[in-house]
Amino acid sequence: MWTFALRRLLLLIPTLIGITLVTFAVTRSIPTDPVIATIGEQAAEHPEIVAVYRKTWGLDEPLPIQYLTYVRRLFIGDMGLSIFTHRPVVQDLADYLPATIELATVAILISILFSLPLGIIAARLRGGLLDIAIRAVTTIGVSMPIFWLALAAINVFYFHLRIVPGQGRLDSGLAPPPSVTGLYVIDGLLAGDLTVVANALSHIVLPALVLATWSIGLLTRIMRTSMLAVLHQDFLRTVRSKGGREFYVLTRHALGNAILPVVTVMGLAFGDLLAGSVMTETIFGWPGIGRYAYSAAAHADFPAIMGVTIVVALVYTIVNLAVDLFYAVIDPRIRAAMA
Amino acid sequence: MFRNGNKGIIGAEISRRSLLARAVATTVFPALLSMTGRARAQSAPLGGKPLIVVMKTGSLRTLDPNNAYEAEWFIFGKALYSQLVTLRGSTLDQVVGGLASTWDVSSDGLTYVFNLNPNARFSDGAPVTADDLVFSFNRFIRLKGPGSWLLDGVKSVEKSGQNQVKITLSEINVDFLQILTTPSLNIGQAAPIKANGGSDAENASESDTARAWLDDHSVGSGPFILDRWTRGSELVLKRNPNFWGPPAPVDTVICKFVDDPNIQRSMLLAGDAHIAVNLSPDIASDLSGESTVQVHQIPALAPAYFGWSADKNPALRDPKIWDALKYAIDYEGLAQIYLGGGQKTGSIVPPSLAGALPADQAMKENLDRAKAALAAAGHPDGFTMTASYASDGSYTTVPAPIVAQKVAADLSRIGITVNLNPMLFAQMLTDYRGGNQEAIFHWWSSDYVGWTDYLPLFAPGGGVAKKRHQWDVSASPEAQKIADLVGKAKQTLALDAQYALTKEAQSLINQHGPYAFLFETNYQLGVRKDAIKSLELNPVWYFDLGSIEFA
Repeated sequence: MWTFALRRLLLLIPTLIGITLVTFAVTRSIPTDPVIATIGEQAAEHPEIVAVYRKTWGLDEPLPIQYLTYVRRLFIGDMGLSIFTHRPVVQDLADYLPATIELATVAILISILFSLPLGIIAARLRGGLLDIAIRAVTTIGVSMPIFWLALAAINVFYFHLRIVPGQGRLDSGLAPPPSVTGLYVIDGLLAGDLTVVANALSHIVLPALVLATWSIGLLTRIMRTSMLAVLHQDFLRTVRSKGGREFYVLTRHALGNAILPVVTVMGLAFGDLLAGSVMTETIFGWPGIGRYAYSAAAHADFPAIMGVTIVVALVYTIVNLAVDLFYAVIDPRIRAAMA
Repeated sequence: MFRNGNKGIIGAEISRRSLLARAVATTVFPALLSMTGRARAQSAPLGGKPLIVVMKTGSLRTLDPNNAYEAEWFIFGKALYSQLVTLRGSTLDQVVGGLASTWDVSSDGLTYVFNLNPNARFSDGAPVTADDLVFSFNRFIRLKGPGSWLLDGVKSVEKSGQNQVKITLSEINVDFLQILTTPSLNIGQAAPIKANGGSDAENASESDTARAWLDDHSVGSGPFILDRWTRGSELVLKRNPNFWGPPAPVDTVICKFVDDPNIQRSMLLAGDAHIAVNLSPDIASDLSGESTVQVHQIPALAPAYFGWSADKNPALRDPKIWDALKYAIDYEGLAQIYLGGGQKTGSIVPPSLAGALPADQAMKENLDRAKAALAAAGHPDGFTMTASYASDGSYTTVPAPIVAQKVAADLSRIGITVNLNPMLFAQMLTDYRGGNQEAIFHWWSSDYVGWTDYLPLFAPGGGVAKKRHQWDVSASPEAQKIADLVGKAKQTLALDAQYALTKEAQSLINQHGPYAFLFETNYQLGVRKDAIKSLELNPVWYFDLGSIEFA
């Protein structure tokens, strides 16, 4: 299994090279000059200012040299300077990515917490009122536009009911904990600052719930379908005939065999969440990678666009690897095949 | 008794007087102290809580006082740093002293001598010196940041005496004092900047490394100091205990970055924000009916316009067509779109600025005249043109797509078909600055508070006129006349004569130029009435954080 994992990690290198090449080619083909678009109207008319900008970002070099310089620096962890923020892209990502990781993790945990039992119940009570209700709710969940849901949620739960706090990751003026992981809940725990932990959790609940609606809907339906395929199999009839209680039958026997497709989709959903949600992050004032990516695209910030693309690709690759390894954990057949 | 820190209760000699003093101290003193404390709490603005301002993240990218140049920076620049001279509220035509208490301008307008206020102090208590000023200005120029062109024409900045600085220009700049009020020309404390990699050397654009440090530390002489900047989240300011002017009215200011105007509205109404800076026209209009909120309008000094090139469409080569375009637009009707987010403008120079053409002399709709011009140009049935606009853009807060659609609809009434071309703002700007647009909806935002930031660029041969609209001085005798008027105004130090020239030039641009100036834009701020009594509004820095009067 570890050989498998190592092989997949090594395959990352040519994958990333390919991604950088495609992203570089696509971003450079956009008819936008990031320097001209970024500096002010009058500054753009001053050749010496434009020249300094171009030199700083290597934009005065031929395109192949720009690409090779970028890749060379990438190998030492340097993703260049953001044209917009003028900071190392790595530093920007270190600021914005943890916020998204934290939000995505809570959202996927909420999704798992709801979707697994709802899917099992819906499958077990197939055709019944509860099954119909679950399917109706989950259909609404996957159909509703996230941005509308976010605005409605803020309006109801923050503005009218006042049961959740407002914007951002913490209350106004509450200083973030000393940064170790960038995840405020974890860093708050490490610092022993329970006020920050509680505050961070209170802020994360609503945006995580909003983000989770889509994945709850999706995962519930996949869980239901997968359980239905397993529930009528002979081995379960054997367990029941041996006197196994229904809860034991569902959770100990059926779930393990039905979970694989759900894990696959869960991985994809988690990856999608980690890539950031621009609308949700904007509406909730969440300083995550979705907003950073949007700003990068809007400003033709090539280094930031490349950085975000690479990070998102890495995220998807690692999540997919984790899913594949998890298969081996839960399914002995796959474990044996990997060995 | 309470302020005299030298005579404490402990250590007093035993005597009748001291026993009495002790009795007073142990009974009356605490009672009085608690009353004073309660009174202090009552008189402390906002009950001692921080002032919360919500604003868009915008383009804020650095807090380096000699490099920051974005619109969102100016409110912080004004709070953290001081400038040589400044403006008082929204009185834009009168420059008042900042760090400079007095100044002299030579009769030829080329030499400025500033006498620094000897009481001015940086936040660590060190005096502001001429050396700091010289360092700051030289660093500003040599970093070649996006605002460094503001000091074009400055030949030298030198210390000319104790607390005195002389700035010599290579050519007259009638708006030089106005430029110096911009909170990009900040005076930072030289020593810590240098200690952290700052440089004012000729190669500062390559050698200076202080920016990252300055993003987390302020070294200014403003009423506030930087506490922290959590990017994308909030920026926290604290009262500067060593401020040399009237103390800041509040201990802590938290600026929360909230990009969605609906959320800004919600926070304001919920009382979780005291000031919301970026209200859209419809939200501001909605809030005007709320009893807890007052909406203020500040001219943004950013006129929106519709402009075209003289060489990309055969029809647009004819100046009669330019007349048709200008007279066909329903300028009054545009008010239904911008609501409080705009106002009429006479021409390119915003009406709030000295030297502007009065708004009542703006272009007016005249459909008959537009049709006649169209017919005289040989297009009685109209023609087709393409005009771009920023699909993701707004003119301050007025959405660009709606303005473009309105004008296109207006022109269609006389048979001109405008094919609207939505583009991403960055892409449109690249195209426009490269002179590749047939026609465009755009706006000109302020760099400083002076007519020279507008008129020379839009006059024939200017940076905008020539490169982007192909309108040069050779286009017509009127174009040459306009250029001459502007050139003369730039050299005229007598204000009345100067403004007479600028007004005449603008009137001629309205008649003969390839632009239709649609409206001047406004910022709209929402303010909690129960928290704030008054604000000193300003079109550059929104409002002065150091001059708020609390309810």
